[in-house]
Amino acid sequence: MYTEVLEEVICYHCGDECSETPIIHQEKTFCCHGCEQVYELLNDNHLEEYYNCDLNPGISPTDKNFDFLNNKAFRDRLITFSNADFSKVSFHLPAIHCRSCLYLLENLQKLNPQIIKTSLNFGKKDLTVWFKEDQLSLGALATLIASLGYEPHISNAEEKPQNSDQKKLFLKLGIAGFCAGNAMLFSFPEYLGIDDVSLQALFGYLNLALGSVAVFYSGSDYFSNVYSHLKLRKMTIELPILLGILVGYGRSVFEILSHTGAGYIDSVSGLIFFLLIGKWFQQKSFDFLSFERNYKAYFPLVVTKIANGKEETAPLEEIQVGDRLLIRNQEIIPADAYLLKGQSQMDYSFVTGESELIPIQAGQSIYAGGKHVGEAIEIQISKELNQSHLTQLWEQQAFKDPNHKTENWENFANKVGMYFTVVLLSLATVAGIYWYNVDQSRWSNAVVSILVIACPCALAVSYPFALGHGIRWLAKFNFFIKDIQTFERMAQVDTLVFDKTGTLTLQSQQEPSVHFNRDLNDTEWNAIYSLVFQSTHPLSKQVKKFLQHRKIIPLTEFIELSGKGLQASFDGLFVQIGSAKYTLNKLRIPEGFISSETRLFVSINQEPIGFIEFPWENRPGVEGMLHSLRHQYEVHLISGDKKEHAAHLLDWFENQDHVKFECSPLEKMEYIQTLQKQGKIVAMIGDGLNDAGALKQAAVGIAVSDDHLHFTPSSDAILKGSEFPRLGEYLRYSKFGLKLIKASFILSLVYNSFGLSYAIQGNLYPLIAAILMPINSISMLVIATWGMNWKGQQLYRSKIRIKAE
Amino acid sequence: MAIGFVIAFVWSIKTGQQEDLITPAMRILQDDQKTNKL
Repeated sequence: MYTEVLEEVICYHCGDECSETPIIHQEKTFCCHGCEQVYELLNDNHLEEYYNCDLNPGISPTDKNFDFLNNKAFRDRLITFSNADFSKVSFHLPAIHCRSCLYLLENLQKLNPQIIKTSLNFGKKDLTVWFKEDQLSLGALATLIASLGYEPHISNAEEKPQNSDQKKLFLKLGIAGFCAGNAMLFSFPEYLGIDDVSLQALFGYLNLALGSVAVFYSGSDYFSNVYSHLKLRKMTIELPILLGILVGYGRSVFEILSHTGAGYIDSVSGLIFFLLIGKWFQQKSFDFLSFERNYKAYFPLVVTKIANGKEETAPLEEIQVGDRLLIRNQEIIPADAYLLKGQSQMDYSFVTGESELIPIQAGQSIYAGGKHVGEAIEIQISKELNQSHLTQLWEQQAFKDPNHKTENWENFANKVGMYFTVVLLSLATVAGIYWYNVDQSRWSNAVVSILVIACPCALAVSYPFALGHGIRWLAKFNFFIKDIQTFERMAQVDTLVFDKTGTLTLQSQQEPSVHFNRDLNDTEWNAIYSLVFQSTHPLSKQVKKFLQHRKIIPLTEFIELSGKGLQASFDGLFVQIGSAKYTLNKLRIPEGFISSETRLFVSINQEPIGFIEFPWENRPGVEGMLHSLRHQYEVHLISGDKKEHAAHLLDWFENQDHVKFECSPLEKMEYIQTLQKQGKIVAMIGDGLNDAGALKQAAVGIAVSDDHLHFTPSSDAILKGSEFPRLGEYLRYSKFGLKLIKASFILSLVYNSFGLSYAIQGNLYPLIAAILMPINSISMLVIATWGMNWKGQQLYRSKIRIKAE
Repeated sequence: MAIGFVIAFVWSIKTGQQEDLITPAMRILQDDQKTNKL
């Protein structure tokens, strides 16, 4: 007796499972010819080290041809430098993921002698190539890189903004640190007691120099920000902070120059240093993602034009009204057009949310953004892309105003900032008046000390750190948030609006299971395939995919009975597909129980054959998620699809007012606007171009994506499809973050009042300030970090536990 | 001496060394091609 162990055969190159017939070469198995070819190529050029750096590092290559890049329009955009000897180009390669990628891409010159040098920026996934363009064209270079599995992503959009702001901030940060550290050093003699007056003066002047640099150079952003905010009549938290800094600095200048004291330079520059660290920390950007894609990024870069009977490729921008284009299966219609030749079934699910395919006949119009399904067709452009039916959405105000969401005037920090300034100034005034009347020598000291010590720097430190950690943790769960303001708005959200198609429901990947009571012969299968081919029902799409190797045979007497099914005849066969009752299939379970969404029954010549069963269209875990979210948030469903296709979801959206179907992209946006007028803070969760308006309008727009290499509409956050069911936990995490900030702020108020009690009495010595302020900042930093990390660990552990179940 | 360090810091930022902190770390771990073939 022996037990047979079935081993998975995986591809040596990319690690995917091989099908039943793997390709074998040199005793290694491959899942496809593409992988095998890459292996051969690497082997022949002595690049086998690729496979040693990481496990199954390869990526299955596409055989896309990039010759269109040689077109002047593209070439000029991509080539960053060119002279007689070489050209320099930069490609974005989203498929980069490991050390092997680094190895291979930086050894590219071994594959082609015209490549001089390459340099990879792993974080940004950008590859810079120096090559001889006169011997190796740009298109050929791109094709070579794509053939290794690293398809370059050529974007239609403009360049991403430069990093110069980040650079400047980092510079200011470093200088501030330098000044703070040395100022502390120079202040020691004063604290430890020094008698030599001239040395005292020396250190004083040195401190003054450092302090001036710290305040006016490193702190310059605070000046410019507060100035521009005041012009808009807004008070933010930066105002009391700047006040504290200026007063501290001013007092120090006075004391040092008049030799009456040592000043607070070390506290002030230390504060600036911590504040800048916070600013730097909050600037986490995910360079490999784009939150800013507009509709242009969804469309292909090149199309096939038919001119004078010949086919030629042309860039999208050159398409004009009246041009005739060839569109192949699965290609996207680049502009409003009408169908000239052929038949099409249009998939508008990404653009309007409809999951049914729309059959188009010659002469009918088609809209930009639809995906063509069927044999190749010829179309004639009737409108330019930016005039199309779809792009009207982008003319809306929300899209035009770049600061629609980012300036977060109402956030917690700024509200506090306002109150703080008021309280602070009144406290200082009161103390000043009091001391002026009681003991003249103390009043200036008291006022200054109050303004310095009571500065809400705690908030300015804990904010960016807590929220910055929040974003970094969520990124580990494949929930990428654009910036910390978004994270904060997530905590304030009270209403969730879901899109249906593609968000709650999936383009179903799994194969349907067949439950027939006898085997069918080829003709019968072909008949079923041909019959289903005519149908636009979403389930038919899946059957078509399942049976795509079958042939189409001419059917006669085709009839579609809505609500029941389809029927047609072929050569003596009478085929019916549809509901159980219609196809005379008997059910053991009452019919009402099974939604018509999951089973297609078949009968041939009036003989019931059985059914094809489809896996639930819902994303796994969606029901659980909706169940837990219902109690804390108001949940809504808006969809571009018809009501019939969402029957199984309606259970979770009890309130009929919270559900709307057949919405156009514009109507979705207006729905959000209506909710916002009711004072609600709305988060929109969607996936397609049809959600772009709603995503922009909502306080937080979350785009769900199964593959970040794919297009995602412009949003504030991108959530991976597999993580979608855990949305509730991530929203809770953001709420926790805000609570943590508030709690730590109160804590800092408590021990700040300790210092304040000294300040009011006019007894605040620079030494005490120098101790209290860094303690304040550091403790805020530590609390923020520990708190967010602890909660983040909890999230992680609960995820592992769920996976194990 | 301290000023020397500041100058070095500013220079490092201006020459772009701070832009990519990840890739050089990975590059160091790559084996040298020549020493491999002993």
